[in-house]
Order: sequence, then C-alpha cells, then structure tokens
Amino acid sequence: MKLRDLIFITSFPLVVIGPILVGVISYQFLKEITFDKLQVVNALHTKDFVELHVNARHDILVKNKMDGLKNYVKAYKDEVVVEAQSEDESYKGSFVIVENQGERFFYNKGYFVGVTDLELNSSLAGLQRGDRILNLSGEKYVFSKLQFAPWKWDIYGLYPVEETSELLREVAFAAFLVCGLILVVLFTVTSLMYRYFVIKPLSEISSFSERLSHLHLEGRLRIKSPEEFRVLSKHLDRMRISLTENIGRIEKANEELSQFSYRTSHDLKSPLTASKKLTEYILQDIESGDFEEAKSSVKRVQSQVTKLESLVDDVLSLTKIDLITENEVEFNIKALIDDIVDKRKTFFEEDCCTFSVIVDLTDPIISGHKIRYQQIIENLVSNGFKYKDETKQNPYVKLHVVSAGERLSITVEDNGVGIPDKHHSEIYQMFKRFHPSLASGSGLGLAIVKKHVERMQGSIHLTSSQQGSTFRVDIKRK
Amino acid sequence: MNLVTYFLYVFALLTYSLANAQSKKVLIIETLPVPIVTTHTQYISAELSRLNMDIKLEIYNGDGQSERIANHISKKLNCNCIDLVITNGTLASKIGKRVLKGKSIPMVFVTVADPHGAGLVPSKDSTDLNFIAGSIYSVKRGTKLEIANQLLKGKQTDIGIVATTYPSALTDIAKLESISNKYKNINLVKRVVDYKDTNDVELTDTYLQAKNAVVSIQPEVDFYWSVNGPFSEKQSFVPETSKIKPVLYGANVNSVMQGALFTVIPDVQSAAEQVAQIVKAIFSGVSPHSIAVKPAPRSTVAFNVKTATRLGIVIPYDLLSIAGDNIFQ
Repeated sequence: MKLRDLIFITSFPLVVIGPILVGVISYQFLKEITFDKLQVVNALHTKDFVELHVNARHDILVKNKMDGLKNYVKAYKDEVVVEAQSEDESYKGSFVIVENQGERFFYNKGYFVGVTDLELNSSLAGLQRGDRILNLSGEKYVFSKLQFAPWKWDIYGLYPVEETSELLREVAFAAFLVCGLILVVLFTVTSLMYRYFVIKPLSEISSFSERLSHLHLEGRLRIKSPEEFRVLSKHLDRMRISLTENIGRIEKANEELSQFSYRTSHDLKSPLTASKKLTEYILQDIESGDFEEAKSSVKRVQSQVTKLESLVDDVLSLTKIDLITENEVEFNIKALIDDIVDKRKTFFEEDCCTFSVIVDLTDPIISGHKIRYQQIIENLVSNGFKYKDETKQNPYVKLHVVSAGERLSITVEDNGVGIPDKHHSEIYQMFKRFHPSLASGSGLGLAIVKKHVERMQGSIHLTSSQQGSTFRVDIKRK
Repeated sequence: MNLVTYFLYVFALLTYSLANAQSKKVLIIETLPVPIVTTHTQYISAELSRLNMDIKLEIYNGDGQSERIANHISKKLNCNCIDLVITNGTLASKIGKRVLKGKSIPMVFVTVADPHGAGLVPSKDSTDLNFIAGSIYSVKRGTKLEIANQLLKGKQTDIGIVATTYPSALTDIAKLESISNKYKNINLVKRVVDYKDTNDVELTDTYLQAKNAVVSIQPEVDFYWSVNGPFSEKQSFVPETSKIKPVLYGANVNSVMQGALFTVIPDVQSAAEQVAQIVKAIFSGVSPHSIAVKPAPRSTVAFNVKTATRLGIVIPYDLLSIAGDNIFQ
C-alpha cells in the first residue's frame, strides 16, 4: 500500500465523519440555546400582537370614550379574532385567544389541525402545572401567555418546536457544510503539504536507494526539508560517496590483485621452470656419469629454489600486512634496531658497506606493531646495501631514528646507484626492479614498506640521485 | 477721489435696495365664506406669518359672485396695490385668471378640486397661464367610495347627490359616477341645479332649488353625498339634509361634526404649508409655471360615531385609527 493511499484512507474518514460530528454536536448544543431564544422571540411576537391588535383597538375606544359601546367592543374583538385566525408570513406560530377563562376559544383551525376546544383546554391546564411545552394533536409548541383584562382574554402565542427543529437542522446542516468545506480545504492543503514534504522526499529517497542498489552511484541526493529527511538524505549521500570510494578501492585492489596474481604466477613459474629443466640436465648428467656437472646443476636448482622461497616469503609478508589483527603493544624500538643490526652482522658477515645506526630517542618505548617497524627498517636497509655503487669509495648505509615532537622519523640513507627520476612514481609498485643486474629480489620490498607506512597512517619520502638515495619515513608516535 | 466715488456708489445701491425691500402685498380672494374656504385662508395666513415673510395681507370675501370678485381684483390692479393674488376656491380662481392675464401679477390658487378642468394649469401650449401656480384640493374619489363601501359592508345602497352647476361640483360628480361603476352595490341618484351667482337673490334662489331637489329624491335614496361646490359647503347643508336622510359623506370636517358620517379631504394644514412655500418661492424669483401643481401631501379623515351608531354601522379599527383626533360623537 502506498503512503499516499494510507494518508488518504486515514484522512478521508476525518473529512466525512468530522463534519457529521460537528453537525450533530452543533445540533445538540444549539437545541438548548435555541429553545430559550425561541421562547424569547415567541414572547416578543405575542407581545407585539397584543400591543398592535388588542391594545391599540382598546386604546382608541377609550380615547374616544367608545369603550362603553358594546357593539364597537364586540366588533373590534371580532377583528382581533380574525387577525388571530389569519396566517402571518413573518410568524411561523399562531395565536390562541381564550375568553373568560375557557368559556370560548379562538384559534386558526387550519393551523391547529385536528385540535378541539377540549384538547386545547386540557393542554392549557397542563401549563398551570408547570409544563414548558404544549402538546396539541401530537405536535409540540412553546408558548407565551399574556392577559388582557379589559376584554377578559388570555392570549397565547404558540410556536411549533418542529419549526425550531427544522431551523436547527438547517443550522446544523449549515454548520456541517461549513465544517465540511473547512475540512476539505484543510485536507487539500494537508495533502499538498504531505505530498511536498513527505511523499516527494520519500520518492526521491526510494529512487535513490534503487539506484544505489544497482550501484548506479552518479547523481546526488539532496533534500532540503523537512529536517529529518534532510539529515537522512545527507547520510544516504555520504553512503553513496563512501560506496563510490570503496568500490573504487575494491576495483583498484582487484586490479592490483589481478596484477599481483599475474606477476606472482609469472615470477613463481620462472624458477620452477628453470628448476625443472635443471633436474632434467641432472638426470642426463648422472646417466652420462658427469657427476661434476650434475653437482653444478643441483647447486643452480638450489639457487632457484632459494629465489622461489624468497619470493614466496615476500608475497606472504605483503599479504600479511592486511592480516595484522593483533592490538598494538609497547616495545623498545632501540632494542628492535639492535636486533636488526645483529641479524645483519650474523647473516651478512662481509658487508660491503659501512652501516651506521643513530637512535636519537629520549624514550625508545613506542606503541605499535613491532613487525611493521621491523619490515620497514629491514627492507630499506637491505635495499641500501643491495644497490651499492661499486665505483664509489666508502659505500655506506646510514640508519637514523629520531623523534621530533609527536613524529617518529626513520631515515635510511645510502650513497648507492640511486633511482632514476623517471621511475620515482613507480618505486612503490609491486614487482618493480630498476637495477635487476645489481641484485636479485622479488621487487616487493618497497611495496611492503609503503603498505606498512600507509597502515600506520604515516608518510614516506624519497630523495634520490646518482649520489645515492634517502628514504625518510614519518610516523605519528603513539 | 476714486475711494469716495466707490463709497458713494455703494451707499446709493444700499439705499435703492432698502427702498425696494418693502412689504409684499398679497390679496386672498375667497370665493365665498364656507368653512373649507375660510379654514384655508386662516391656515395660509398663519403659515405665511410663521415663515416670517414681510407680507401685507388682505382677505376679500367674494360671496360667490363672479363680478364682485372681478371688480375687486381690477381695483387692486389699478392702484398697484397687489404683488400676488391667492384665489381660494374654483370661482375666484377662474375670475382671477381672467382678470390677471397679462398683468404680470402671479396668482396662486387653493381649494380648487379640478384645476385642469377649470383651465388653471398651464401646459406647454398655454404660455399665457405662466403666471399661475397652486394646490389641488382633491382626494381620490376611489378612496372615498372605498371607505363608504367598507362602512356599508357591501350592502346595496342608493346615494343621492344634489349639486349646482358650479364647475368643481360638476367635475366631482362626473368622476364619482365613473368610479361608482366599479361598485355594483352603489347606485348614484343625481340632481343638478343651475348655479346663478349674479347677485345675492339669484344665489339664494339657486340654493333653494337645490334644497327642493334634495327633498324630491328622498324616496329614492338611503343617504346623501356632499360633492365639491358651494351648496355642499354651506354651513346649513348637513343639518338640514340630515333631517331628511343621513348624510353619508360630508364636504369637510365641520360637516362631520354636524352629523355627516365621514369625510376625506386634503389636510388643510399641509395644503396651507404648500401654498405658503409656493408664495415664498415666487417672491424669491421662481417663475410660477415652473412650480408643479400637486395635491396637498396629507389627507384628513373624520368620522361621526353617533351617526354611525344610529345607522347601525361600526367603523372598523383600520379606518377609525387614521382619523386621529377627528372622531366626533
């Protein structure tokens, strides 16, 4: 079910039931007030009738000393009776004249259909008992009574309650109509507002979400109001941006993975192919009895396997960078560096170059992943040694670790062959080797360093020339 | 020197204006001294006085004699003693028209029932009547007959009319006859005698003939009716005629007081106010022929309850209430 339909279903009864309720309540409320007002109005009508028709006639007779003329009094009484028995367009009620306390009744028989003198007498007697409403032939009337003593008349003005009901119904209907109109207008306005402030934004969000689900990440979502939708749209759009970035990264990573797989497969295959060929030669040499040649071939196989092992180690190192899940621990970086130096001395007895180490730290304890620092330093130092310049006197590799404020700087400087400027943009790519004739390697060393530095949210800078290379790694010290 | 000349001029102008600002001489000619005429004269005089108009008023009784009236007006013309003439009654008005034509003296008529018939109302063709203005003394005949019919409750009635050939009488009779055709229950019995007013003797004889005519139609009628004219207006008409048969309609309020059942006449006060305003307008420079000739704005109704009771008639409240103070017993 659509929100629009839901709103319609919930609002529509209000538009219909609301006015009806108002009409009913108005009717009930007005009924009581109208009854009182009706009595007042009826009393005024009755008073006017007596003043204009009865009193006026009597006064003129008195003024002209004719009130003793019985023929005139009778004639004028008859005139009033005729008036009382006539329909009055301005008065929905009618008058009843009771002469001499019930001796005679004068009323409009066409108005009080089916009413007899007896019934009238009985009903009027009920008024004496305190009835507020007169009942005549099933019809109800409010009444007003005035006495005119000179003629011994009781004059009643009777107004049908049904007329009031009719009036009330008209008023209630009018109230219903007015209320209905107002509600329709309100409904229309509210609907328009809903449409603009709720349905339209939701539609935009819905279509945006659909596009997002299909990874169509172009097109910004921007909703200005209401505030909740604005915030939601802002978050959704951030999600789109984040998704765009992540997808970009994933695509880049996929690309790198493809390349990595290709290069790895390629570099893995090369020593395997060579080793396989050499084993064939070894078999031939053994069969031919040339054991010296066979020994030489075996040594070459060993070399290839070593190369393969190194490559696999480096690949493992590279992949492990993303798999480091242990929490950072505190360790002594000076001790780490000492271990690296010792290891170097142990495995590389004849170093070609001078290796100097300066650790300028007041507090050598740092927090982090020890393995990252180890691989950064080992790889940079190893490259310094690998790519020494044979033509230069006093080749050296210098390691300098210093802390400057919150920053820990690790600098490895050498006076080796340097890296040509044209390759500076590629040096951190996997399997890149710019001097393959000078040393062996997987081409993953700097890629490993770069990855570690990025994971530690640090930076790495290179300055290089034919005089040598300097790598500086800056990491925020924790 | 120029200043002196200027002051002399202004002084002369003022003197001239003051000299011309004399009282206006107004002559009221009464056809004859019947109550309706004399009452009008009385009210007009009072109204002119109330308006603070500087007027010297002269009232002349014509006694119903044309020559008498004509001679007096001529005398006043010759001595330059009139600035405006008010003619009270049809005869005086007709004489006034004849004598004052071309004399540049404005005339205002009053108590004239049929000024059109009497040739007093100027039309676009009769420019020689441009000096005349006036008030019509008339209530719709239909009103009178309608009241009569209401009083008689539609009963078959024969009404006797006796009048002279006085112009307004004839006009009144003609109009009554035409309207009475609508009332099938009312029958008019008419007798007309010649009006001779050359002298008192002739006039007396006229009235005697009229009285005889009244007696002669007595068996044919239930009531008598007063029409316009000097005979009905006579003070003795109602008392004498009532002895024969009751007078249903009287010529004026006084008639009702004397015993006529009812009358409906133009209200004398409102007619006098109307005439006074016409006089004032004329003296202000308004040309008489530009003043519309209209009836008085209000009417007076009067009833005699004793007569009604004697005739077995109850005057309905609707009618009695409009009579105001004019209810007599």
